[in-house]
Amino acid sequence: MQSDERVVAALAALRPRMAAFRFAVSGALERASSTLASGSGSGQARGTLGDFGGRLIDADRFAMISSGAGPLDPLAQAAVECAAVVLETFLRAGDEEFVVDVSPGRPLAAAIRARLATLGSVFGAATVIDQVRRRTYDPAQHQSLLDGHPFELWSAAERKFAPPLVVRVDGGDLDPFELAPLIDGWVRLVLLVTEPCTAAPLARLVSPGVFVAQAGDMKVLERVTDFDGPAIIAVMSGAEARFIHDPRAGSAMWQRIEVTHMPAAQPRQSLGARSAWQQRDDLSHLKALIQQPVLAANPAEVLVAAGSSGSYDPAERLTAWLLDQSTTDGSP
Amino acid sequence: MTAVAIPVGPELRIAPSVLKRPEHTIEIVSDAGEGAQKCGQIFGAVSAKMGNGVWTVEIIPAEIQPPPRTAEGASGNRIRFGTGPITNWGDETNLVVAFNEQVLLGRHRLGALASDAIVLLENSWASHTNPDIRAAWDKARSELAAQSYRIIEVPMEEQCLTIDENPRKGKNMFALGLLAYIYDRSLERIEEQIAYAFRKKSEEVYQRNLGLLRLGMEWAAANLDFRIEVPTNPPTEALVVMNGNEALGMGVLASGMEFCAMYPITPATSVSHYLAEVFSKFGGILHQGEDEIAAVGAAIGASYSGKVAFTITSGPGFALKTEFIGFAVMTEIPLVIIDVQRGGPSTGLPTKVEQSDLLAALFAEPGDAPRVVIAPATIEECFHAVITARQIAETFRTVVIILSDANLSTGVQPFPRPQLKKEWLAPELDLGPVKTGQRPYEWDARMGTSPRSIPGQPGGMFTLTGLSHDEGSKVAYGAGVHQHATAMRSRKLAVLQQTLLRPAINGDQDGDLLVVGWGSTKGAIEEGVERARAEGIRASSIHLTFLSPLQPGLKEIFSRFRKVMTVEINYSDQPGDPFITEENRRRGQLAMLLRAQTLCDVDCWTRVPGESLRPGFIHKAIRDAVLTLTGDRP
Repeated sequence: MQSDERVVAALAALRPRMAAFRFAVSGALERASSTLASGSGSGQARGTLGDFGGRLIDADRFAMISSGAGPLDPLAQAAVECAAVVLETFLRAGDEEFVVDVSPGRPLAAAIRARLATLGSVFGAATVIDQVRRRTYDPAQHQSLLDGHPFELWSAAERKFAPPLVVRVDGGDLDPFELAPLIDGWVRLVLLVTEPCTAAPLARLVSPGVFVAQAGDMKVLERVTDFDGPAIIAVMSGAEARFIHDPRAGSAMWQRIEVTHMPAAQPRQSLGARSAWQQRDDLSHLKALIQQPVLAANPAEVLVAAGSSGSYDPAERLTAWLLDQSTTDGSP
Repeated sequence: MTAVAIPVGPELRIAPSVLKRPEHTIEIVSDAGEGAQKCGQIFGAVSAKMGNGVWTVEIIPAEIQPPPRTAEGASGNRIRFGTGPITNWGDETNLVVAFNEQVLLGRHRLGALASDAIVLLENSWASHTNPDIRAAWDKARSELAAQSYRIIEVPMEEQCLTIDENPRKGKNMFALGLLAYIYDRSLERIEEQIAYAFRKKSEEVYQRNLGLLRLGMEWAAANLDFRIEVPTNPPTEALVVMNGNEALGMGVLASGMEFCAMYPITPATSVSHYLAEVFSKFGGILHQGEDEIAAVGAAIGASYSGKVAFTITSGPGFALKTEFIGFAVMTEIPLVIIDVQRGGPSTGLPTKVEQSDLLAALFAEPGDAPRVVIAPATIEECFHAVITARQIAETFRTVVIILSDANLSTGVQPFPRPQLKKEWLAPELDLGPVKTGQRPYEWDARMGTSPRSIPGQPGGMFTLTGLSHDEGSKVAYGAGVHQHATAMRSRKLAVLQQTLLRPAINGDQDGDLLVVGWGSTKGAIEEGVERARAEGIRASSIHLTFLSPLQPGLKEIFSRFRKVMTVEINYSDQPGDPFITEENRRRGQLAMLLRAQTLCDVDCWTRVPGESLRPGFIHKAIRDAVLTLTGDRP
């Protein structure tokens, strides 16, 4: 799989994020180990007290105090052991855990969801460990967390720790509307698109807080490294539109979006589930996004107009009034 | 008696007689700054690594830089080493290397030397250009001549000047060479140790020191008619050699504590010197506060934020920290305090040993502020005590005070290399949400313990206060609330006491006299008891490590002996002294505690000589105490 140069390059760009995810998993595994050790009672107490304390203190009695509720019950212990296996299995696996291959004709989102659910089982495992540590583990409620943890059930904190994914997909299977529910937290989806593809499939996903890009190479991934939010990037090789929507670039849509290429010809054929009209509408949507507002060249005029119309919020009205009191050259 | 001075010079070559001894005690003494301590430290470390049991004690003047050539200004090292384990500094010195006659006189006047001690004395002072110095030399020699010491004059300065133009910088390595020859120390190990000791110096300094070392060995080989063999017993397990302050520092690392806040104070400072070199490599932070109060405040703040922090000090610093210690007790913030005791009160004897902080550690606080007090007895225990202290502090959300002293802090002893365990480390912080409805002081009504909230834990926010508070940390002055909260803070010590094991009895399980000790006197007490037992005296000893709470079973153990007597390095009135009666007599600090706790008539034998107790003196005290019991006057 990784012989694909694009996959290798994408994984290299995402490595810091992958490392952070692995680090969090290894932290959870440490918690599992210490929980299992502390649940073993006096042996652990003897260990924690050191050689000095071990000679002076009754380890059994001390264990009853230090663990609060005594040794783990068998069910809780088994749950932590299972959780540890889940975490160890992930840590032993290679980078392929972060790569999804979507078979042609199969739903893109379903493949991504399945992988996120598998990876999410480490979140489930961490939750189980924490519940056991707090002595609030309930098998009926928490056992299933180890069998896979669907993205829909991830907490906000878990979504902030979402593992990045590199997804190889046929252009015809790239349906943006399927992906929208997955954009949250720190989700990183890098779509390596096989031609042919519709002209601007990701334009529909542009929204104020999401980094969205259609690019011809991996350089764009450098820009997303320290972006604090979800990102979806399609890497393409055909004549599709090329654009980057970076939420950090400005407050207005036209400031945030940068289009470097638009297809010369309008789409005339359907592709996958997307009709020609839908594809043309994608392009129209992209063009609309980059339209600058009328009179944007002279913001003062806009604000003066706003002040007189009274149709903006109080702060804008105050600003407009102040501008109205001064001449355009700045003199009072 | 006449001191014997043998002629010196390369022309004299005598086949040396080899004196075989099971143990020997040596001293290297000089003016401050002449490196005698470095010489002693290297000799002690090399001897330990070769397989001798070793105990070294620093001889430190009370001032940093006392006037040169004064009897009170002797600085150096005393090393007792033997074929078997050595647990204390012993009684008298068998061989002395003295850099001038005045420091030798100082040691002599303190009774430090055995009557047949061999003395290697620098003789350049005899021909000094200053007539006052020559007169002082003559006067000292006449005083020393009244003893049966064997004094061998050594031209140290003359010899050292052949290598180093500043003889003050070279004599210590020359003296090391003398000792290396006399005791047949491994040259390879000495060179290694010199390399370590001067690791921050240049190659030139290292090579010059090796030259001086070899010069001393050659001079000794050419001029001395004796050597002394103290057979080594090569260790079967890996050993480490360090002083008590280094052991405390390493214990800090092994315990996983990550924050030390301190203010420099003798004799505790070298712990922070050690940590300053290594702490950051293990993720630790060493913070020097602007004063003792700020230091303990910073440590409490760090503990409050999560992991257990510690502060290190000595008596005067401890006094300044008391208000904050009370705050830690009241707010139940875990805290470890290391007090390396020195002579007091006030600034007292900064460099000298004393065990006078016990009652301060236990009680120095307005209001009721129970804390745990433990006292390691050996350098090895200094290492392990920190691990236990952190664990107790965290488990019980309380203050744990470790009482070390100047004897342990500067003494060097080999002990088995600790096999570090992950379980010793402070556990990872659990910053998950606290249980719904959990209060910051949700005391277990039986045990007094309560789960700890760490800042940042969702649902765990509360207002910390040193004012009387309820389980929710809300200020509450009601009588019932304060009674309950005080009981809970106190109960923790009772619960801890229930986990403690009875102290082991050294010797017979019953008899005429039980000696009770604590802290660094263990080795000397047990040796004193052993000597008494060898004479048929029915004496035993116990050594208390936990002083608050006290280990269980003491009253029952005491009942098996006709007399119980503490041996301590702190002050007590002597019976028979003017105005001293049974009613007004002030007793040793442990004796006072034991009398109060057990209602037993615990006697004491305590001294504050500014040095460790000698086993011979303890032996005599035991003999006298037993004679009193039998009606014979000592």
